[in-house]
Amino acid sequence: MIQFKNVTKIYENGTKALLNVNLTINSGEFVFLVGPSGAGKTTAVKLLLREIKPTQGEIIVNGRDITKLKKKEIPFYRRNLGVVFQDFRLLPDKTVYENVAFAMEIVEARERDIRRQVPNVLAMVGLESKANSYPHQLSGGEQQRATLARAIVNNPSILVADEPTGNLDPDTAMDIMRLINMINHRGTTVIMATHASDIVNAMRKRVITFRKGIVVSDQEKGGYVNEAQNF
Amino acid sequence: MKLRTFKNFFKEALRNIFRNRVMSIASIVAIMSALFILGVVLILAFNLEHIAGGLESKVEVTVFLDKDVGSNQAKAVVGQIEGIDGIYEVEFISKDKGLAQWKKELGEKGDLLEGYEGNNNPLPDKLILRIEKPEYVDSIISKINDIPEVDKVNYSQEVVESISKIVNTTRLVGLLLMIMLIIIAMIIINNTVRINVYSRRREISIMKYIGATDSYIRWPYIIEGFTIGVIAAILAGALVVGGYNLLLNRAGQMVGNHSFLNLFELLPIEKMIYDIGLAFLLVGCGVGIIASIISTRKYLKV
Repeated sequence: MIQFKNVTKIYENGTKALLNVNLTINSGEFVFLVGPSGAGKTTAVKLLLREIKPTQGEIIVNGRDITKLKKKEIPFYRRNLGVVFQDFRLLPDKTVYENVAFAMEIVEARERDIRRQVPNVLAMVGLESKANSYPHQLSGGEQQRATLARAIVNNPSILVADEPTGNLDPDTAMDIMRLINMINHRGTTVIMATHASDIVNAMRKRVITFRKGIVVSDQEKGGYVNEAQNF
Repeated sequence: MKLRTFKNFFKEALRNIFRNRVMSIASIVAIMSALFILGVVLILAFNLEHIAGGLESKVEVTVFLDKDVGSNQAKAVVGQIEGIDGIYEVEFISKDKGLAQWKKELGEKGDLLEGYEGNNNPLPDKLILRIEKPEYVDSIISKINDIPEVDKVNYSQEVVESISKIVNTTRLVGLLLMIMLIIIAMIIINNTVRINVYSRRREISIMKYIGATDSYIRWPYIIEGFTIGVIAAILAGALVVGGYNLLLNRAGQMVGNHSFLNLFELLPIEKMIYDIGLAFLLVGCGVGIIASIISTRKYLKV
């Protein structure tokens, strides 16, 4: 379970990114964070990744207030999260297989487990045949599949995706969404920040809308709130 | 940390060195140059000490015996002095021999000393001692003063002290130069590693998102610094040995049979190579490792 309790984030330059946000996301949920640029969804993602600390408030993840994590504990906390970004962020000098295996090497998994698990995950995202390709040899969709494989290879309880379809054409984007949905069905909580109204509307999942640092709507099986409609 | 993880770190480090070969070569050349200069300083210091040691060995102590000491008694004293540690040569000049030498020195006017031979000889028996090291002089002199037949001991204290001073100054200047060079090498490699880390900041941020610990991220850089240090030390060692042997050959040809120049005979490289090699490895690796630790620590705050 993820809880934001009275979370406020004001950056050093005075930007008020989040103001007194309260949220509860249950295990196994699929949640879209939507809103225009600068609304605070990326700040929410960064807070969840413990990249930054809130100015005020608590963020409870799986029973622990992550704002109180020691610097040394952060890497171990992050191992519970799978992360996917808009710009893929694969290591360019490693093959797809190596990129995915790398996430397991970091947590010092056994060689045997790596050799078993990596092909499994690659098969799941449909990249078995590209295992020995380098990222620059892949299409955008394939790169995002590789990133997804890397994000879930250690069986995280939460998948955090920041604009995962931002660089993809609509068809490829829907492929990726099907994959993320499949990951969600395996029990992983999914939190996805996005601008893509068509995707949000097609998925019929919980939608939390941010505007100017405030949660303006939180709908079950919601759609993308059009700014023109509400404001 | 598992052994296999370390194997991966080594692979990663070697890959980084090869991938950023321009920067790696720059780092290696930088450390190598510093080590080379360090080597020159060391060789200079070793040789100066060697030469100074040679001069020190020529430190002489002159011992005068009482005038009424007979020749048998004098021989006993010589034996006694030869038994003292730290003296490597004792030359005995009897009063008769002393007089003869004096006469010879006076040349034509030698007849002035006519009539002083035999029992009229005013000179005492004399011993000239050559001391191994100037530090021993004091204790040797006090031991000799304890011998009842000894009248007076002379030694060139000032010469001994000035030689000690030259050696000490050389050591100090060498040490300061070394420290300076080490600092310069540290700055160079620190910058190099910092550029390396900066150019890989994306990679590092990815690793952090995946949950890599700081030490996991840092280790390959430290191993990289270590490896660069070892390579630089080996190259600098080869350069110093090669250059010095060339110099020895040239010097040998120039000196030839001039015995005066042989006084300043250079040390063979074999006598220094272990010390220099050890210094190179320690300094090279130390600089590489410490610079990597400092620069990764700086960068990994993110």
